Amino acid sequence: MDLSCIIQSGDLELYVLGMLPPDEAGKIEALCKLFPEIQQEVDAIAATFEAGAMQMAVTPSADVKEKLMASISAKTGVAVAPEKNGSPVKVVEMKPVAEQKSSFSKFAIAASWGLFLLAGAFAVYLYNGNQQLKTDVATLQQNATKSEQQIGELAKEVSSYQLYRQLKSDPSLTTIALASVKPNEDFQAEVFWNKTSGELFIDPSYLPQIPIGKQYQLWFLIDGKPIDAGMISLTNTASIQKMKECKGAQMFAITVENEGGSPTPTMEQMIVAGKVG
Amino acid sequence: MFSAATYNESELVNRLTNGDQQAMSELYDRFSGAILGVIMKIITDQAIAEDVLQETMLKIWNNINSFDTSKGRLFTWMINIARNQAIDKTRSKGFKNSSQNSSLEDSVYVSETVPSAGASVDTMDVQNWLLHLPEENRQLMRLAYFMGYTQEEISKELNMPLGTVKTKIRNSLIVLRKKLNVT
Repeated sequence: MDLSCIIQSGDLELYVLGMLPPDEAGKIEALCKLFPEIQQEVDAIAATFEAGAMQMAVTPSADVKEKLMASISAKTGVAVAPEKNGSPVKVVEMKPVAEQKSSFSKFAIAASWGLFLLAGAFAVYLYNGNQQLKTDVATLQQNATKSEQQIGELAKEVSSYQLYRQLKSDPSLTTIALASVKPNEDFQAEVFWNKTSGELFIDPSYLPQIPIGKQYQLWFLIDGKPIDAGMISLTNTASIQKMKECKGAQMFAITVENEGGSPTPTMEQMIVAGKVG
Repeated sequence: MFSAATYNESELVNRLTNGDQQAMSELYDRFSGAILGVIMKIITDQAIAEDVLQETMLKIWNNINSFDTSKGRLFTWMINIARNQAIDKTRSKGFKNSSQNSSLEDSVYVSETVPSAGASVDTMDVQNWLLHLPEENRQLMRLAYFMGYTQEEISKELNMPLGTVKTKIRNSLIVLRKKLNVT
């Protein structure tokens, strides 16, 4: 155990000079009993200050001793009885606090300290255990949330795929493949269109990620004139979406427009297009 | 000058406990000068200081059975009794009515400005071992050790945080101890 912090605290000096309150002095006395190094240090401090006191010695007048010895012999009969007046409290300061207590209270103090430490250790143990459980629960919850999300995504994919297959196999629907119009790009989309009812679906899942603030807009053209077929949802980019009713289309095209769409397509922002076969 | 090895402390204590007056005489011869020196750090008037020495020695004689050799050193115990006895004296009515002024602020410089009657020039120099300390710490030490104010009282009176008072007193003691070791 590193005792240097106690030795260097200045408390031992205060203790030696009787400047510590009794409870703190009692602590130092307990430490002295436990650690010979501290006892040694206390002795060294006492020796130093005693030497200092010796250095400032002042020889008393001769009659002081005479008076003293006279009063002692007069009191010899009661010499051992402790003095009643004066300030005995301060004399007591030098006496170890622990010494004044009965052995039972010593035991009680030791026992209560033991219990206190045990309780403390148990509390720490419980606390740590509880913290661990909390962490575990949080991790499990996170995992569960993640799994739910994954399941949700899978379900969407499955339903999207089912819808895709359904749309693909529906004889009333015509599939029109849209492809990149610029030579250096390779994007695709698919339109499913019921020529008679006008029902229109788009599968935008192969379109590139759109910049923030922009949105894909689907158009159909009749005699070269673009008609709005609706905005492609920003949140549901992976699944097939139902678009506006469309009749007589000869061509489909998707442009990049500002979020919310435009009344007329920005032709230079056309990303994919496809003719009705 | 002083060495713990030159006398048998526990033997002396045993004799004192048994009411041996010769032991008291030996104790007096060995320590009375040093004890008076400590008292005169607090009470500069030698006549009053000698009264306190007398009271202190009587107190030692009467309370020797409460001294435990295994718990501390006899001389340290006696010095602390002397100090407390002297401080009590400075707080007594009679002492306050005399020329001495023991109010906290005013007393701070007393022990340095008032030369102690009967003390030689040499011992005066040694008495000023507090001069090893910075002025503020010297003042604190004087209040705490020589005037017996608790650290709490000093903190309140000087309007200084208790922690600062404690630190300064501790540091002062550590410095003093080093200085005393060297001399």
